[in-house]
Amino acid sequence: MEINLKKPFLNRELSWLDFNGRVLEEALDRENPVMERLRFLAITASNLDEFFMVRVAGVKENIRAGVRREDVSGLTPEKLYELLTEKIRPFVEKQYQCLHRSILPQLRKCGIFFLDTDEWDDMVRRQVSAYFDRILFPVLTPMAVDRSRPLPKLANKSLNIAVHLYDREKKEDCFALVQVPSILPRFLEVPGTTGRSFVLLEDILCYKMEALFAPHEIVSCCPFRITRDSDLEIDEEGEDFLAEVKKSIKKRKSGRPVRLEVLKKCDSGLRDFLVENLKLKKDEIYKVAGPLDLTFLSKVASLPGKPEWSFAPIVPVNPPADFWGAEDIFSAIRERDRLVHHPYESFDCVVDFIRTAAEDPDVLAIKQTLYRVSGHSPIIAALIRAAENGKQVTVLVELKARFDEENNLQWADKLEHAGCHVIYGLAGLKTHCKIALVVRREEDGIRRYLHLGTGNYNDSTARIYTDIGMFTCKEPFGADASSLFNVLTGYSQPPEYLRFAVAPTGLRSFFCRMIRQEIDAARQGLPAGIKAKVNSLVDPEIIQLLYEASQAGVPVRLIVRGICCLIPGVEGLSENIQVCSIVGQLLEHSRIFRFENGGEPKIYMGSADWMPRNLDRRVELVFPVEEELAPRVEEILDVLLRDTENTRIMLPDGTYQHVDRRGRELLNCHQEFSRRAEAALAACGRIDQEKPLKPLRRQKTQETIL
Amino acid sequence: MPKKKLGKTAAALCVGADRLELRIRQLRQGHTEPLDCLIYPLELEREIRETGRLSPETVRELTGVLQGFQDVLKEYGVEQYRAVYTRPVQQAENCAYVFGQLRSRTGMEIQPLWDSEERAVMAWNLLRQLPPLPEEGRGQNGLLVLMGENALALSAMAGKEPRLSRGVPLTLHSLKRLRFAAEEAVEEFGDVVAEYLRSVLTEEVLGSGSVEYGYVAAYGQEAAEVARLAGGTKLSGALAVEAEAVRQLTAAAANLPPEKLAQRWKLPQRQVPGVYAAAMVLDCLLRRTGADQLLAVDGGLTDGVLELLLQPKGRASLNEHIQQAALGSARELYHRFQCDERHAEQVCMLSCCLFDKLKRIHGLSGRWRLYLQIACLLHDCGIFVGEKGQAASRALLAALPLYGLSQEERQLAAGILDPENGHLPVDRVRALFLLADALDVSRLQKFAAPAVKLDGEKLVLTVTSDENTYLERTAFAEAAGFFELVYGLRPVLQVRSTLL
Repeated sequence: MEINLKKPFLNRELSWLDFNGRVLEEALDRENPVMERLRFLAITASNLDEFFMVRVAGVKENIRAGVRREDVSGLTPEKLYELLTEKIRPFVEKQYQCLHRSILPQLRKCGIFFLDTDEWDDMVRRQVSAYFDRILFPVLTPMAVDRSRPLPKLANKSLNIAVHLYDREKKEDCFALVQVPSILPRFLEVPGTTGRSFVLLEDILCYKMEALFAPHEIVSCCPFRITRDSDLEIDEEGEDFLAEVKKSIKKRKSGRPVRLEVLKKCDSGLRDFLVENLKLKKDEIYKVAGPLDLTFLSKVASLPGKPEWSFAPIVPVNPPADFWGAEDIFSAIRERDRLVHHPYESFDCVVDFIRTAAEDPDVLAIKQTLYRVSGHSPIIAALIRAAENGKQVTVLVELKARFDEENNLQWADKLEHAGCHVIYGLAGLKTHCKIALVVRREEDGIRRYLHLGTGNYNDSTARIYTDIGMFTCKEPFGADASSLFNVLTGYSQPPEYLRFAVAPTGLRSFFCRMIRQEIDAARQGLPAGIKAKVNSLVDPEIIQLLYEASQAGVPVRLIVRGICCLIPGVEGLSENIQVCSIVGQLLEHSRIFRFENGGEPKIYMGSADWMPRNLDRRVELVFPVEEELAPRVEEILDVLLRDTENTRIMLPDGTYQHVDRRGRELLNCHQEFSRRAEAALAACGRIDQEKPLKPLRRQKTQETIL
Repeated sequence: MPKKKLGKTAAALCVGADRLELRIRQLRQGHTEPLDCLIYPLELEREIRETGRLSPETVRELTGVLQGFQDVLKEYGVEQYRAVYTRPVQQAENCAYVFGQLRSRTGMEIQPLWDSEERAVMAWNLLRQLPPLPEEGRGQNGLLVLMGENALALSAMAGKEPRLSRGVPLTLHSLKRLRFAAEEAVEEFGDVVAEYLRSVLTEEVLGSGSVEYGYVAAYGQEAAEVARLAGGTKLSGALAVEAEAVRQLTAAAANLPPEKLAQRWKLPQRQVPGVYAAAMVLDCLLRRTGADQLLAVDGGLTDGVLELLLQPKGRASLNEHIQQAALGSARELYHRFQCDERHAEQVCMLSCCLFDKLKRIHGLSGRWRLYLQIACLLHDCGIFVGEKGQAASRALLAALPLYGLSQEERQLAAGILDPENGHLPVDRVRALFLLADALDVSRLQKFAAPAVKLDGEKLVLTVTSDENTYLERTAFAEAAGFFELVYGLRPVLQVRSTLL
């Protein structure tokens, strides 16, 4: 890739595609277990769907609006769209090559077969017919399309089958549609001679199509899928915010189509029919080898199988070493700050924190932000319980969490019914910070307990996302937390925070100040250095400052999982910057920032990436890690930077390559963290066993109570 | 199981000119510490200035915010709070209706806070945090600067006792506007502020030039920020900084735009105008007084109210402070009016003696004792007018800047000197004053404190004197009629001689 040094920024959309490319590389990697390869492939498909729904739709909207301004990377929307298409088409091709040439054959070796229609034997056909008659047929709604019956609104990402029919009576061609029911499993297990065999739902439908349209003749049929513009536009000035969100969600379902996926084998008549009726342009059609919508592969990957088909599972240790032996979570936190590293250490302690607070008679109030929560969230159950127990419960539910809006609306409703004070944040800003505050009345006064995290309060994703949480009851943190919630409830203006750096009022200036400080230190010959781990690095001001830092001689080491618009290693610009990306068994999600600070390092963690949206359009929180916890976070950064298995290094041309393992100790950061978590807990256990007598729990002295 | 002794929490809520403020503090190990602070910006003063009243929309907004504040109070289990609204809000035509509506909608009782109490609370909180001051010499005199939301309040001090107090119609807000809102920065802004302050800071407050000041003590968040920026060091609860450092700070900041100042001072930009204005005011006052030290205490009105609620005997301590300061300023004033100091003090002493000994009969609070003392000390201040001296004294007393007393309270004190007041508690106190005044009618302080005895329908006052007391007895007999009218007791004066 050619780098324009006058505009030394990579385009964020193109950089995102590179990230998805890295995930696809994992799917292609034969060293990875087969089910994990399937999972990676499914992730690339799901990622790409979202990319079309939001980013591609956005670029197209800019083109439609006549925007001709270049972005920081020097691309106009038109040029960008051209480059995106150029990049996406081969990417999709590669996805299917990966599936057909590499993964499916490997699956067959494992005894798992996905049967094409021509591979079906009589037994399979009998089962398929029975399934169609009993299960499928009752839920199908075939829809004819003609002048009087226009194409119905097809749901975003739904799988449909277009059918070309011939009316024998009228002797004319006609068209119809059948939606593949999303309530049924996408694949059906059928009897096979060896191993396990599966057929796809759309293949069953195509096979039995005549039964649906008799006495018409089926000329051809073909599955297709459309992706719609799904970026929500919510009128936050409206009187009823909830109603506005609901309205926008409805609107999203009928957003403009931005992509049509059809099978390569689809006949041209059907394709033209779809293009005409959906009012699509040629460049919006993606012909794929099939099957459509590879996201179902994640379900396939979850089929029971042999252990070697999947990564060795990372089982969260419970309790985390920091909470070992703690009988009461509050006294443990009072003793010292506690740190938990998920998913190596169980998320249960976070749930326990809220659950204990809900039942504790001394707890007066609980306040929490919720961005994305799991289906049967124990956190929400605990909050409801707390409200029922008469606590003051304030929950900020972010209704604008993309693609979780409906889910969050339901939670908000439930919480409100239980008596919680539910708030929806500030107009124009998404509340992305992860914070839970418990106000407790103790003998010596009110004390505030906090959980501050880098990831969502979601017990499901906490098993696959790497995140860090900190528990503290230090007074300045508590005061800041109260202030933050006062801002979120709208009852107070933003204060001067004692410890927190909070977006949008102070986070950008905080990071800029910290980076400038390192630049000054380097210029004065003092120890300087920046290490940061973020999911995305997009913000031009931060990037520009990092370039300045590099030029001043500040060593900058960045772990950027996804989009990185900074170009590292360019002589005279960024030769002191190294960027790496970690993609592996777990999704790297924590955000950590370390500044050398003239030899007295300062470490921060939080919810914010280095993107304009995080720094300017969201409520984000970054907090310092103090005293005894700082070395542990340093250690985490160190292990991540020493990883040789999951890490790719970004090169000055914008491409990535695996770490050169020669002469280096092999290290898989995810396995290493898991090992360390187990070892830390085992060490706690050993202390217990090595004592000649059963150790007494630390007495609650006056000191510990205080 | 013994009941847990739990920490004490309290809250102060203030509906002010441009904000609603809620502060919550708790008492822990004898010290109060902040728990929470909510500031909701709401331009009430502007609305009142423009329309004369508060609109129904504003009342709805106020209601919503107050309900939110109530939630916060519940979150901390706060049961003890004081809610007040300050002078700018009191100016609204529909003020009484508004706060009535707020009470019925939220259940919150929000009371008016008069300027005098606001200043007294702030000054009390400032003084208790100052380091020990020299008891004599130049260092003992200081100027107290309260940077409130409505005005600056200044008090000339002798030791920890305010002598004279004056509100200056100057707010940091108006200075901010002057300095930063103009299209172009006002040149020589420091000179403008100095000129303005000179015009409003008369000798009455600062003294006649003979007073030498050792320090300026300022109360307010901006003042504390100025001291911090000027390199102040912690001294007791205050930040102490040399006057020269404040001068350097303001000189270095002159004519710089707010964004540059924000960078230089490492402050958020929105905070800069207030801090700059405070720096200018303090610099001017330091120059004007010649004081060489600034003592700044961080805090506001609500901080003071909270200390009152939380500190053991906080209210008693404030009352004592107000009493001392009010009497101090009354004494300063009788000097200025060239009253007979000894007579004033004698009448005051005799009145207090009667007030205390007849407490069971009149049943009045300590505050009435203070009104009585003030009236006694200043009952002659209008005497230079001539025949209408008493009336002039009353008028002056009602108008004089007496520390800690509201307009209403000054009227009550003045009423003590009014023969036609007709207000029962005032007349009860007036009757005491008249007896006391009669006992020193010759202005020769012939009697020490009398012994008082209730004898059936008679109130017997026994005094000791070897001097001729004819004049006093005559005057006493005249004053006794009014006393009898008010109390239904006939005062009898018994004069004993030590010679017998």
